[in-house]
Parts: sequence; C-alpha cells; structure tokens
Amino acid sequence: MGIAVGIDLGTTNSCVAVVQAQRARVVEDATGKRIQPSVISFHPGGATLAGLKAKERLVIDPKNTIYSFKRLLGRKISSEEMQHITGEFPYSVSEGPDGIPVIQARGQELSLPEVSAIMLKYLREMCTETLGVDIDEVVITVPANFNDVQRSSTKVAARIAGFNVLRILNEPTAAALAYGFGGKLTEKIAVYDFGGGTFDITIIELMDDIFEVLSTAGETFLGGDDFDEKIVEEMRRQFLFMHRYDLGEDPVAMQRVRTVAERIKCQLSNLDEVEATLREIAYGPGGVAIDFSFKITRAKFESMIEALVDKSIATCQESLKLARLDVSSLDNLILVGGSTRIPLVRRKVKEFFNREPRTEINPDEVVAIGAAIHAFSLTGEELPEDLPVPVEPKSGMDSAQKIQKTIMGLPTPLKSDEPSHEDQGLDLPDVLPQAPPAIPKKPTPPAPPVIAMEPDPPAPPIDLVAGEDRILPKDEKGSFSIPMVNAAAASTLLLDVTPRGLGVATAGGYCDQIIERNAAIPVEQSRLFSTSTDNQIEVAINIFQGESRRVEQNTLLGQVQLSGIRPAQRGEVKIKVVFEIDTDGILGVSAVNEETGAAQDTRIQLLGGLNEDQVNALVSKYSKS
Amino acid sequence: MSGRDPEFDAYVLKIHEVLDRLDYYRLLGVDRSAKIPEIKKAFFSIAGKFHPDRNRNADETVSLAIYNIFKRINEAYRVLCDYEKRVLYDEGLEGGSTRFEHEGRRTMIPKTAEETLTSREARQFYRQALEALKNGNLMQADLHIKVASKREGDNKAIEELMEKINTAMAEKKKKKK
Repeated sequence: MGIAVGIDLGTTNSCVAVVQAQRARVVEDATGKRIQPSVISFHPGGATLAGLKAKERLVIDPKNTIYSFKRLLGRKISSEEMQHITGEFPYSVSEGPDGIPVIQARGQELSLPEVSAIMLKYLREMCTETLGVDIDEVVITVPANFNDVQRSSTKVAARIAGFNVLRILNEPTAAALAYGFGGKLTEKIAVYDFGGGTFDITIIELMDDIFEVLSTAGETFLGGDDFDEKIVEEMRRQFLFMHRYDLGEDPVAMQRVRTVAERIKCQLSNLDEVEATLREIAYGPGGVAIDFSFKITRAKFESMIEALVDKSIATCQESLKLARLDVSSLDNLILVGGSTRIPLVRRKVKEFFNREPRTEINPDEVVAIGAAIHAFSLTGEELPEDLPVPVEPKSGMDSAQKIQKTIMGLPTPLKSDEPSHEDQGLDLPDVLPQAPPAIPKKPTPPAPPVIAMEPDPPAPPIDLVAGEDRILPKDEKGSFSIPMVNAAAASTLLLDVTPRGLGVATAGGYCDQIIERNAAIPVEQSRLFSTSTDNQIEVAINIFQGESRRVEQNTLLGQVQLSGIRPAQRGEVKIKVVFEIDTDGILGVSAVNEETGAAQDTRIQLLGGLNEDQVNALVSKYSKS
Repeated sequence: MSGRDPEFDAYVLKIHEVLDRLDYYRLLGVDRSAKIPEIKKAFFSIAGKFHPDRNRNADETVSLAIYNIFKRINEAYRVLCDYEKRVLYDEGLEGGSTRFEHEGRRTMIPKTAEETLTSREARQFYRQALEALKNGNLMQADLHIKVASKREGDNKAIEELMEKINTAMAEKKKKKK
C-alpha cells in the first residue's frame, strides 16, 4: 500500500490532508492556499479549470462554470430538492438517461460523478505537485446523511479521477477522529456539522482509541448555500422595487449578486452591518448604467435565516433521542463546517447544548485532517520526512480576494474569515502504529464454545481492554495537539452507522424495514421472497431508504431484479435476498435460491447512478488526459 | 502479507464455520444476564480484534470470514443492547433460533403488477384503466393509464398496460377501416 491522503470534497470548498513526519497536515496548493473552491469551469480555449481559477470565472462565464455540484450528486432530477434548486443555477442542468441530472457546458454533456471527478483529479494533481509523489489512495468524506446513491456516486467519481478508495468516511466521524485521535479520551461528544450544502449532527462516544457512533441525523439539503440564497432573494426584491427590473433575467448579473451575497454573509459574522455596491449591474432607459447599493444588518440577516437554523436544532434533538441521551450526558461539542461561523448558529447551538463549543478546531480543515488520519491508520504509511514539507502560505491578500473586492467594491475592509494560515497539523505518536496492531500470541480461549460444547459461555475471545490507565487527564483544555501514545493505542477503530433505514416495498404501498436506521455497519439482513403468480419467472423488488411505513414517503433507491426463476405454482419458489451495507455505507444485494442453494441471477438498478459500463468508459477517458 | 498470527487466522476460520450455531451471548462471550456496560466492554474488545480495518493484511479467505463474523458481532451487539429486541431474541433463542428475526421468518409476496406502484393515486388510476380495458372502453382506459403514468413514471406495470391499450386501440382502428 502506498501513501494515502484524506479528501474533504465539500459543497463550497475542498481540502486535502496527509500524514507526514508524524503529523497530519493540510496539503496546500502552489500558492499556499489550504482550501480549494469546489468549482470547475470550461474555458473557451478548451481547458478545464478547477479550484480557484475556476471560481474566478464564476462571474465572467457563469454558464460554463459549475459550482455547488455536490448538491446535485446522486439525486434524481425529479426529486423535490432538485425541483427547488435547478432554477438557481446559471449553468444548464437537464434530465439525462434514467432521470439523472446532466450538466451542459461548452458543448459537452457531463454527469455529476464526472464533474466531481474533474475536481478530485485537480486535487490529485495538486498533491503530486506539492508533495512530489503520485497519490493513488484516498479516504474521501461524505455527509453522514448521504444516501446510498450519493455515496456510490462519490466513490465512482474518485475512481474516475484515478483513485483507489480506501474508505468512504462520514464527515462528522472524521472530525471526531481529528479531535480525539490518540487523546485517550473517554467522553461522549456531539459533532455539529453545518457546511455549504448539508447539515449533520452525530453523537459519538470515545473510549480510548475506539470511536463509536451512537447516532446520526441530518438534512442533506440544508447549508450555507441556502443562507446565500436568502440574501440573493432580498437583493433581487429590493432591486426590482427600486428599478422595476428583475436581475433574475440576466445570469451574469445574478452570479455577481450571488458572489456578493456569499461575501456579505461571511462578513456579517464579524460586522453588524454590511454595505455592498454592485457597479453597472443593469442598464436603465437609454442604456444608462445602474449601480446597486445594498445594505443589510446582522439582525435582518438573522431574522431571514432563523427558521433554517431552527431546523438544524430540531435535528439535534432527534439525534439525541436516537442515542437515548440528553444534553447533560454529553462531554463536548465540536463545530464543523463554514456555516458554524455564523453568530446566530453559534448562539442557538450553545443554547441548545447548554455548553461552549470547542473552538480550537478549524472548521474548514478538521474533516480532511480526520480523513488523513484514518487513511494513515488503514495503510500504516505516512509520507517520508525528506519530501518537501508543504510551503508556508504567502502573506497578504490572495488573488481571489482581490478580484472579489474589485468586483464588489465593498466599503469595509473585510475581516478575514479565511481559515487561519497557521499550521494546524496534529502531532502523531512517535511510534508509528502498525497495521494491524500486534496480535497477542495466543488468542484465548482457543476455540469457540460450540465446538467444545461447554455449558458455560466463554470469556471474550480476546481481551484488549487491559491497561485502562489514562495518559492524559481528561480536561486538558485547548489541547488539540496529541500526546505521545504507544503504537497499539494509536490504531484507532471507527464504529460507524448507516444514517437511514432500508426497506422494500410490499403489497399495498407499504414498506417493510429490513435494516434499521443507525444500525452499526457493516450490517446484513435477509428476507425470503416468493413468486406471486403461477409460472412467474421474474421478481422485482423495489428498495427504499427511509423510516416511513408508507413507500411514498421514503426515497426509492432502486430495484433488484431476480430472473431465471423455475416456473412453478405461486409461492412455491423461495428466494433468499441478502441486503448488506458495507463499511463505506454502500448497499450490496445478493440472492440465493432456497431450493437449490445456488446464487440467483440478480440485477440491481440504482437510480441516479451510472452503470458499470458508463463508469469504465469515464475511467479510461480521464486516465488518458 | 506478513505480521499475522496463523493461530488467530485458524481461530477465525473455525468461528466462521460455526457462526450460524453461535448465539449472540456466546459470540460476545457474555452471560445471559449481562448488563449493557458489560456487553459494551465485550463488544469493544472483540471489535478490536475482528474489525475488518484491523485485518487488512489478511488473505482473502480470512478477510471474508472476518467480515462475516464482524457483521454478526455488530448484530449481536445491537440486539442485546436494545431491551425490547433482547426480550424477543431470548424468546426465540429458547426455540433454538440463534439469530434475531424482526417479525419472524416471514415470506413476503411482492406484488401483483398493480402493487409495484408506490403512489396511491397511480394505483387507483391503474386499476380503473385495467377495468375499462376489460369492459372494452378503450378511450377511458387510455385516459386513466395516462393519468397513472403522470402520477408515477418509470413503472413497468404502467408501461405494459399502456402498450396493451395502444395495441387494442390500433386493432380497433384497423377493424373500422
């Protein structure tokens, strides 16, 4: 196994981290930027840009510049969420085969995994450039509440980008890992992860080096983008009122408004009032250029987004209920994601959890750091020390900020909301963990009880819980650096769960739950199915994600088709279908004919995904370029 | 790959062989009366050994065995830590069932064509279209199936019935001529 990196592929920004010289650190780009905008752009010259260079084209070439694509990934065009947002995008999103969204840009048609792959490939090339070695393996993070199709689409995207995916890791779990790694902590923590497109709340119990997810809940369609949109709506409304012209009619103007709205939102985290002027945003009678001055107070902004923030708090309540805990039984609260910088969000979260959040963690980088640590614990390989250490960022304003400033003409100097450029690397233990940890020479007891036919249940096969003395006192405040620990303890174990229940459609529009919500993964359950008509040779089973008893309230994931069934009377043939959710949180289905014990022909059709042939075509397309 | 204890691997394969005969208590190595903290402790100690992440260097057979064992360990842990499930499981165990089955070993019969429809309205219109076709009222059937299709696209049953109705209508036209 080679060096593996951790990638946080975010809705708005992406971040890459790697373990080097016993520290987990962010991989910077050539200019020292630690965070890369999740944007790709198709340049008229034929080049495909990604990251900052692509973001710079947002207002110049909005039709061919794709942002927030994570919100579209793995969704069906007909889904409620998609109906809600496709109109917001200046780029063209249309319906492709099987109802999946397809993006049209500069004469090309691209599926969402392909768009995501272009971004990942850019990050991969950035690693090669900065680290001086090719990186083939990756732990890639997703929102905890991503469903099966969204997860597999992410995995496919990474494959197209040439990565071997070691693990699809939940973002809050990654954050918890970065927080508690090697710290020998025994505590229950809440990870409140509010990003650009999604919201997750995860309750995790840390027991030394074991991280057990107790519950997770969230909204895959609630994030900073929705706050931006509130400001955009208000600006559009005001402009319409003042000038009788709807800015929505001009995509370039709208994109400028959107860019300004995002900056205003960020600045309102530090200022009580923000004013922005957009020069020549439209043309009045006789072609006179109209400037647009917009002023908004923090109080006004907070009143616009309060309902959305409250939604996240309600979800926190739900997750505590699922974990059968109350607020007082939690030991710590961690905030992740850019939206947690908003004062209203902090206030509400603090109020609900009745405690101060840990703030020493950089909410933009912690997920990537956690992913890098996990990659390291899976492979046991770090980047050698003699390779160039990521360069220190240059001080001063970078080009992105300059450009936005000139376009926006903002009156107040902006108090940087950019991540601090300090090195936030984690100390890793002196002694590197081996993968796997040393195995005791003689596992006891040597044989399982059934063989021995002992009347009494045996002791646990292997006892690893010996030596519980803690190295660090529990309340070492503010210490985000990790104490030295011995090799075995450094090999952390993540025990994660599946966010949603899995069920199949039964007669009358009901849904029969097969795997319940928040079940620890990997998990497997099976059901027996039989034919419903005489001489039926095919059975089709619709698979749903969700907890509702009624199928229409759940999300259709796809269909399993069993074929080649022996013609017989109805109900005679029985087929056992095994549903499994693997350590990536991805569904697998297999079927066995109960009569013969042979594997049954099974075909799974997942909606919103690409089939194997399409994926392979894309893999070879991108490996050439 | 190196670094593995052959004795442990042999042990894994042995457990895998008898996995279906092991009840959850034996699997986790706890007493029938064990309380949750005890179960948790046992689970963590076993997970430390049997989690697939801790056995990435195992050969294919052992990997698969470990994966299957760990899935069962997860299942055991989940059921034994849930009071209601545990009561049901204990009852089943008396009857010799080592695994927890949600609502018994139920055979489900999926669907007549109509039942594949998820929306109630689509089902209603599908039924009416079917009825109309039977009665030879093709116009009515055509109308109903179109509405059903609007309510729920991508459904094989609707597509099939639609085709049937279209064929019937085409035949009727031919006869008229």
